[in-house]
Amino acid sequence: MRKELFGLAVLLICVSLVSAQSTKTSTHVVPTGKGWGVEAVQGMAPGLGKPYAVTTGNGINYHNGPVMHGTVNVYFIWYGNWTNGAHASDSQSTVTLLNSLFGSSGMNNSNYYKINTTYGDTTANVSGGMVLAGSTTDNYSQGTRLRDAGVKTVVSNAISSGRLPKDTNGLYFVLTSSDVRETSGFCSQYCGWHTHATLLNSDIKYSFVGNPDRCPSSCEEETVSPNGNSGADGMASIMAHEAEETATDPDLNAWYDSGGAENADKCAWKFGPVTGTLGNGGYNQVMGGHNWLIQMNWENSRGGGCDQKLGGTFYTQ
Amino acid sequence: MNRWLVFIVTIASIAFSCPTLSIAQNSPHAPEAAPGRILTRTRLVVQFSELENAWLDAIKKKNSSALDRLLDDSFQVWSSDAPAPTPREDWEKSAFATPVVPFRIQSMSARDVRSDLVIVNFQLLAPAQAGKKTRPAFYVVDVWSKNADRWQCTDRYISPLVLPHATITARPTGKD
Repeated sequence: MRKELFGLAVLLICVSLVSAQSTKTSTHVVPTGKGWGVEAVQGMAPGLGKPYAVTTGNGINYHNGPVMHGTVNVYFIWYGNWTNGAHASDSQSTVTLLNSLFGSSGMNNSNYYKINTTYGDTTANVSGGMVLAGSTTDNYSQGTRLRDAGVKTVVSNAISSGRLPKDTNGLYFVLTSSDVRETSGFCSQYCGWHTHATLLNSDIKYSFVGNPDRCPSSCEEETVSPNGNSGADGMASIMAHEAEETATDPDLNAWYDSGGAENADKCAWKFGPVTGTLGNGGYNQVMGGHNWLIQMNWENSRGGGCDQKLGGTFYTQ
Repeated sequence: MNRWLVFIVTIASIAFSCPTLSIAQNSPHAPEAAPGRILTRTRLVVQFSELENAWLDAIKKKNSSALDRLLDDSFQVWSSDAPAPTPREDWEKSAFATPVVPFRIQSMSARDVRSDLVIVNFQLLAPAQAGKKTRPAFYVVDVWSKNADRWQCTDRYISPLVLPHATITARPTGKD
């Protein structure tokens, strides 16, 4: 029996990380003279009469699906109690802060969000535009224990009831107060997620982000945060992550690497240098009139890397 | 560390995490689930993925000093089909003498039971082999304890899994 134990233990532990790189999806790489290649893939740019080039070779691969073009419209669905809930962040303070982050002077056309403009499809690149276009509330219509299907229903109901418009170029955030559980792994496996579904005969992109004050050690980098609201500040980074990924991989078939990581996944919980002290209100972005600690994003140029702004320095942590 | 506390906490962790794991694995195919979703991994999952990968790398490089940083002196491996745990010394000797297999970590979850105690659950998958319908896979529970600002694994619980190729998607779910 001892030999069996050794065998199993050794088999289990004697492992190495798989770091294989997948092959590219297209076959024609054209040098640009800028240090990276462009792949010419099927498709024509409107009005140009020639294929639109997709930049690759920067540690993340294109899988032929569409990206979101033009200004992405963001919609908030505040689910649960965002007035006077269990935590101080279950309040209108959080609503106000996140409204500013996604308002026209927030991430929209910021140097940070413009990192996303290095991604495209056969039609065009992602724009730097992303603005809050509407919001609504949901008073626990699916209870305090949400399943993935419940999140989908929350979005569907918001649209079908007319509280939010049906927008195929939109991203619908379901934002839950700290008393709401998401039973598919919130706090143990994930802090948020994004996906898409056919709702009301349209391809709708949506995302779940819960109040991280429910599990600070799992989903917050700082409990003393830049805006004195650890829940809102924690949500800001997770929402930025989901927004970046949704724009570049809305249908889960466009941009991700050989390990399945989308652009923001490759920089998850990496912030780069901060002003102040990390863990005590340190921040790395100023947008919408507030300081924020927001994770970096993967830039699809110059060989690829995590940075805080388009064309900025690449950081590993 | 109180072994009984670790044991109870670990069993509780497994009990709580198994339904979650099952849901997560099946979610792309479950009738009422979303058609697939990309997760933002928790800070703990990212942090302990790095530690687990550093551990794998230390084995690959036969780096004892790296293992010293990652493993508690009392580290031991508990297997479902073994009568007694394997102590660190015996495990390390065997590990360094065995050819490296390129396993891959997926479906990790992490729970902080206390500020200095984290239970990590994940699967180890061997590479798919042509012509074979299954491939080696293991369910692993690691107990990490914080000793003076350094996380070290004190116990590993392992059990073999049988995963058909069909359950392994070409498009990772983001849980890896």
